[in-house]
Amino acid sequence: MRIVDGHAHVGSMRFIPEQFVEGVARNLFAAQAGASGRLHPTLAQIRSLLLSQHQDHNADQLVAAMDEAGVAMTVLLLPDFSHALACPASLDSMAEEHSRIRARHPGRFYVFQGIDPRGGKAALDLFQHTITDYDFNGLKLYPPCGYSPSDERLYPFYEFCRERSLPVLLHTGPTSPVLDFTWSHPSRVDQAARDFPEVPFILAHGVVHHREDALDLCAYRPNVYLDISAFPGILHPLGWRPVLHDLFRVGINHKIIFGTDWPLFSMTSGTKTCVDQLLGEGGPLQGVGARDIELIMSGNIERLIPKAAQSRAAPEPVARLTAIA
Amino acid sequence: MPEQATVASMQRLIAQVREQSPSQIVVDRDTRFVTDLGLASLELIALVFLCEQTFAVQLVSQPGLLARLHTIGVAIDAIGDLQRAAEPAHA
Repeated sequence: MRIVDGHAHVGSMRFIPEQFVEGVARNLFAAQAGASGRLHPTLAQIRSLLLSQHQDHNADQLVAAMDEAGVAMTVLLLPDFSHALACPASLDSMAEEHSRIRARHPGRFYVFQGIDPRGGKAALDLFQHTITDYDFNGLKLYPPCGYSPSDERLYPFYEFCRERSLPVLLHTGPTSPVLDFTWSHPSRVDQAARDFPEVPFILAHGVVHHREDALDLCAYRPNVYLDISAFPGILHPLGWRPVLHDLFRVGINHKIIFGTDWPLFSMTSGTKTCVDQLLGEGGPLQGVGARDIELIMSGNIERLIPKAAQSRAAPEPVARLTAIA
Repeated sequence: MPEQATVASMQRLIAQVREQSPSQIVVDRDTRFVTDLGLASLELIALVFLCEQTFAVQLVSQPGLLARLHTIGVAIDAIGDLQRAAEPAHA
């Protein structure tokens, strides 16, 4: 079966603000107040461990994990944090790096470019440049940076997505505590989804946070989808299995997209474990029809990405690889 | 048997993290930290640093290791490799 990871990142501190990681570390450290046992890692240890997960600058470790798990392709998301946090590089150079990484691993990655609507025309130019010149495949939004996904300053981006048949993926739910969670409720996208019915909107982590609202949007807005990335982090007394078991049986399997959120959870779960636990005996997909499983594991995300882009993302001749190296 | 000794040490360290008796922890090379032992994220982080301290190796700084560190077998192989690499070369 073809498997496509619909939500992942290059695990590299070249693309993520240190403040973001520091916030995640502080939240994990705070969680120790309720943890059992006396042996707790220090804040410095948690920070160093998180930083060590972000040293895969060429995505080689990600590709190794994909190979181990049988994942054919992955959607790389490059969020734009530049209007909320100090970034390690300009968005232009990060986009260029992602283009280089994709060329290093031909046929393995789709890329969704992040922008912030406060970037104005320069951001629109950059987004169009990444689609036209780098063959990127969609738009990534990170509303917790401080804007609504229905902000009208985004409409020129959505208009371009409509023209080019490109999907928009937006973060939903809480994130690093250095950002503003109030913008990340899935209902914030409803106005935009109404105004741009031809544009697919994907609610990232839609089964992890604000589940009922995300499900309602998927069930009643034809152009709203959700990805299950970060599902090992679902807060439920019985863990993530019963939540996904129910999700796959409410009649929206044509809207659900498999995703991992790599490199998060790579230490505790790992891509292979995620895939095995989803598809294996006793997993939440057991008993679901083969057609639905195919949709969830690859069919839905690849239906949203233009066919031309899919063929361009296919493996390229060795000669070109050599030239890049 | 150095590997058996490492496995036994790992068993003690896991017991320490879980605040259980070592006899309550049954492990072999294929035992998975999260799926089989039920270690939570913070327990896993604590175990990694406890291993670094106990075996005098640097696990966190090894490229890509944490993303593969899902079983006892991967951990003891990594520890063994790092300990051998730290030994002075024999003539």
